[in-house]
Amino acid sequence: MRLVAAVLLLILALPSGPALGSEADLRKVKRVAVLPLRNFAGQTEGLFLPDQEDPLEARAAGLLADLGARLGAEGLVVIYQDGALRKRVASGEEYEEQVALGRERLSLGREHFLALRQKEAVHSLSRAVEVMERVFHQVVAPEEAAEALELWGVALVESGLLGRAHVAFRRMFHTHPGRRFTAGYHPKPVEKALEDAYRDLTTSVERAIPFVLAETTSTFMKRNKLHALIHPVLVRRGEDVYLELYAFEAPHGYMQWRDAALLDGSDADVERVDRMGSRWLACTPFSTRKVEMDRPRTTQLAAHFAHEVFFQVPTREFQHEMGVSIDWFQRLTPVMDLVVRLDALTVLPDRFRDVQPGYSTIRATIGPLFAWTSRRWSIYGGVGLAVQYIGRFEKTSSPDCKFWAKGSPAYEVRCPASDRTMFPPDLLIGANAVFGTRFYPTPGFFLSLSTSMAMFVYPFDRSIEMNFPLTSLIGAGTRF
Amino acid sequence: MSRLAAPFLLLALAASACSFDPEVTGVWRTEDGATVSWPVLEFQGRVELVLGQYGEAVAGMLRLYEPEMEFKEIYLFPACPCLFLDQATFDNGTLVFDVIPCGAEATEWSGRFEWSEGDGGEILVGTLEPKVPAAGMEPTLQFKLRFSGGKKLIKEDELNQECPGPTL
Repeated sequence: MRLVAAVLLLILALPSGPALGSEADLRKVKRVAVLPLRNFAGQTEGLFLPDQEDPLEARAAGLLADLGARLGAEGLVVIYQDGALRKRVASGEEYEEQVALGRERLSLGREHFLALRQKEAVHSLSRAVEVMERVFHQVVAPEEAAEALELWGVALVESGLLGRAHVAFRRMFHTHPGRRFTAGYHPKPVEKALEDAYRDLTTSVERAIPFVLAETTSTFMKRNKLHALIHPVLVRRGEDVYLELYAFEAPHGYMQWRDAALLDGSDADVERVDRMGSRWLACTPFSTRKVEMDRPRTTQLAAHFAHEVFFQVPTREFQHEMGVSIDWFQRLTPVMDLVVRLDALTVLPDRFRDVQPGYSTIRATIGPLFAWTSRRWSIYGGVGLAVQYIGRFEKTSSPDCKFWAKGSPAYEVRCPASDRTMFPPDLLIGANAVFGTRFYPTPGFFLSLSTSMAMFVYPFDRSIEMNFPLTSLIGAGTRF
Repeated sequence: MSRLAAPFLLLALAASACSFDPEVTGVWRTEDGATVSWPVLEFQGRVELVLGQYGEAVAGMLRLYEPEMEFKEIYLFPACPCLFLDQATFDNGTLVFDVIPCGAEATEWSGRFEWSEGDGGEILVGTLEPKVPAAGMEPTLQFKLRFSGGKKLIKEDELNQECPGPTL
């Protein structure tokens, strides 16, 4: 009974597989948006000159597109830029509805402006800008967003609100730095306000911020389910033009990293921009998730319920036994384990009750096993040495020997010694063959089913009365 | 029986419950108010069979009680309180056995009882008759025994009281 209790406690105390396995941190893929390139390298004098394509701007845009493709190919980040970014922003909630409303307000504002109703124009146009920027329409269609800002600024100048007009024009150039104007189209005060705003913006740190407020940057990333944002700008430092990258992280929207690369139109531009991208990738923080290390687990410990039947017995029927079993597998080579098993069983009464009283038996086996193992299954077989101890028991076929209490007068009268055979405790030694399978629902836990057959050859004097036990086991265990 | 077998015996018994073979292990008694007359023993009273079945083989005894209502030791028929069963078997619902009643001219009697089950429980109905009928002797005793309880009623310390039985 103590042995059974000890084995049952062992079953309860089996450690869970994952607790003994080791884990590794695996980076979660980041979703990163690269905003459209904003060129702040222009000169104020060029505001009213015919629009000319800036070759460095086109080159920088191409280098950015290549950089985005290379970073995405590494598998650590998913890059949204150009068309993919516009599509992601435009698919947002209420986008189409709000843009339609913004366009309506813009149209109304233009009407008011042309009818010299400046107060109404200012109101409608400010509403148009607000609605469009709420869904970040300036990322999808910066020219249209800038048009609203331009008209709003002009209406503000015409209304004498120069301070607010300056802010509107700064926001316009921040949204679309390449916007140009026909000289003489606007009145002189408007042209002066435009020049002042452009000069102010291109010399301020505001050009380094994508949406002016960190809160707005955070909102943009949250709305579009992004982990980070890269804001690329072209700036002039003396005679040189630099591509500057500013990186912002969710959820707070603050700038986390910045770098710059000289663009001189030479082949070296490619390497400079590429290195800058690599520096960002090395510095950007990644969230991680725990994964189990796929390392070999070489030891297995299992506990089973056991059933055994002896096919060679001194009684009229086969003797069935039930009990518990524990085993230990130790991986020696990729296909071979060493197994040690201990079984503790007790005989079940058969219908004749020829075994009086019941006996207990303990068997130990040791030997090699050859196993085929996959991720989820293991099938094994092998032979080994078996040593079995069978306790003392008495055999009788007389019903009186079974009915009357031993030692009672009736027992003495009705059950003579000739009707009984005593079997002393016995130690048997022989060979044991086993075949089984294990299923691993997790790397550290398995379900086990096996069967084994033993053949005893010792004692060598042919006095073995019980032989050829067939044992079946079902249980569970842990691998570590 | 080893104590270790107890929890697993339950499993074996539960499995065996799927197919029911009648068993006679336990105590069987004549019903309240019923008496059995056995002239050769000058006995009139109640009868109890205490049986243990092992396959088809059966061991046990026949006990005789004076006609009081309780099956207690104090009411055992003094002249012949109990008789060992010999060569007893239970097969296909039929219990057969031999007994040698007490007395100088005791002769062997044979019992043959049929098992059945009704609303009131299991019963054994049958006869006891001498193997060699003698003149003037009631040839056959007929009586019915009802199952009164399992092995718990077989009190080993009460058995074997004044049981002469056959001499071996």
